[in-house]
Amino acid sequence: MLHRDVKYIEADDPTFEVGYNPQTEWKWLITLAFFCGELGAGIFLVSLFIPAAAAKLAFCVGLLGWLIVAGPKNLFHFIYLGKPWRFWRGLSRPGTSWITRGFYATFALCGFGFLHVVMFYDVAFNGATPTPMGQAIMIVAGISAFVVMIYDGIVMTYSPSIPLWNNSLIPVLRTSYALMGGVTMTLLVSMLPALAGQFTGEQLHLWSQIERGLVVANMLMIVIYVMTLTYQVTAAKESAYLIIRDKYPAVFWFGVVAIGLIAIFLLPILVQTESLGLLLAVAVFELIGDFCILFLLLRAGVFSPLRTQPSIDEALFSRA
Amino acid sequence: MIWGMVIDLKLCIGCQACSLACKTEYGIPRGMYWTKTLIDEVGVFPNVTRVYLPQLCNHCEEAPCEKTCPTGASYTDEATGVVLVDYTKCMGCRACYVACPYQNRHYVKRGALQGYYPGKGLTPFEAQSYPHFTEGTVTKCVGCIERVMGGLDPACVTNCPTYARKFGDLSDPNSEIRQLIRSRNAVQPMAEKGTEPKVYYIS
Ligand code: SF4
Ligand code: SF4
Ligand code: SF4
Repeated sequence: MLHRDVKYIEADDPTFEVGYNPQTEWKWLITLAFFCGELGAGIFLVSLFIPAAAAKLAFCVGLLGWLIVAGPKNLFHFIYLGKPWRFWRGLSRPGTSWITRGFYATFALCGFGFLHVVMFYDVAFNGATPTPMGQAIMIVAGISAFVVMIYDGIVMTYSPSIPLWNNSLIPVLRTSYALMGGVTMTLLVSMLPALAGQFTGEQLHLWSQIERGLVVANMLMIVIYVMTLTYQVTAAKESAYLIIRDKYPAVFWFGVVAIGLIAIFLLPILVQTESLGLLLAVAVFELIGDFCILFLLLRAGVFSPLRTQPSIDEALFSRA
Repeated sequence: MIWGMVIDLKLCIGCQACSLACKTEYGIPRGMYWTKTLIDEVGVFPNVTRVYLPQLCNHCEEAPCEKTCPTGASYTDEATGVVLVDYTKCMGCRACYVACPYQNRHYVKRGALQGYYPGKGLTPFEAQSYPHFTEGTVTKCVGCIERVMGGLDPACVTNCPTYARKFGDLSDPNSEIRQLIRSRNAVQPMAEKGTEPKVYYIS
């Protein structure tokens, strides 16, 4: 059966027709919450790898990442909930639910991340040496940031209902985007006049190379991901079709590919000199590309229609 | 007893009596059905046929909706195997909605309990049934658990004019449904997802 033998049906009210129905509940607020969570955690995690000589920069980048997670990410999740004041109940199922695990990691990042930022202030601005306690807190905060960065992707991968998500590449792709966001924002912050000289020319070059590497990795992953979709069940093909040709081609080709990957790869090559303006443009483009891919993953996710299931079709047609 | 249902696709005439029986039994708010019969046309003219596919919560043994629920609001009733939602615990994250491969979960939006005649108050029927729902939470088929515990069949089964839906005890090897599953090579919807549905189809 061709995947287009069944229609795409986007309807808020229930339909009695068989079709590819997109999921309609995880929309803007969840997209924003996932975006801020992954980006903030990626920035925070990357800040832990900034060399000791650039401690002021590490402090500022870490603070930025922490603020994005503690503020917008939590806020978007909170206002999305149907019963926001019951949010604490989300901690009940760590044994089976990745959402619960993500909740714990987010709370840990908010708490330990805050302690890390406070304790690191002395190291960055008063020349104090890091204490073992400070380092232990940093490790816990780093692990929490890693889980925050990856858990949305795992929630999606574990969902058996939407073949676009039920793909083990999703957490890897989202992690890679989060790290790319972290590196890009680190480079941008390093260009602020107040932090001039924190990165040497060599370090700047090295971090730019890392960013380029992540761009290339993301390009490859997107190609592989889209290719895997075309080999999967019909609902995955339908999602790929919606993304590439039917409903969201502008978001994909312009937002994800042209702006989010090709432009950020080519801009530094064309402009040559590292400057605040260039890095600002790269950062904005990177954020647009990152948001667009997340938007597509959430919006183009369609459920497998019951009728195209081989077992059901067999039962239906055997009476003919 | 373990809740189970067998649906005979040969007998279904697509009348939607089940959809309405369920809606009436529970006073389900507008814009949602706990069960419905999907209608599809297949084939190419002149060899076209219409097919009907009744659909409801499968009360899956390995329910992904329950596993992903972070609050424990989604749970399986041990005595019957029916998957239920505790509205007092649900925080409305809708993770269960995206996890259910059968699209059998429904979010009760804020304002969804305004009734069929907005601005004119609730009808007596709505006033009696809507307090059983909670805005901002997720709802689904309850397997007519209170009818079943009282020795009755689910409303969608009782009201099916062609006896296409059969209800019974999956734990009893001699029950009618177990015999049908054996003798008619019953299939489970999307069995490949590993959810182990308790609803079976025969034809
Ligand atoms: S059919 Fe859907 S809602 Fe019902 S138990 Fe299975 S996964 Fe959960
Ligand atoms: S919406 Fe309610 S029942 Fe569904 S997963 Fe969230 S807390 Fe659980
Ligand atoms: S078993 Fe009861 S609650 Fe479930 S679909 Fe049938 S009538 Fe509705």
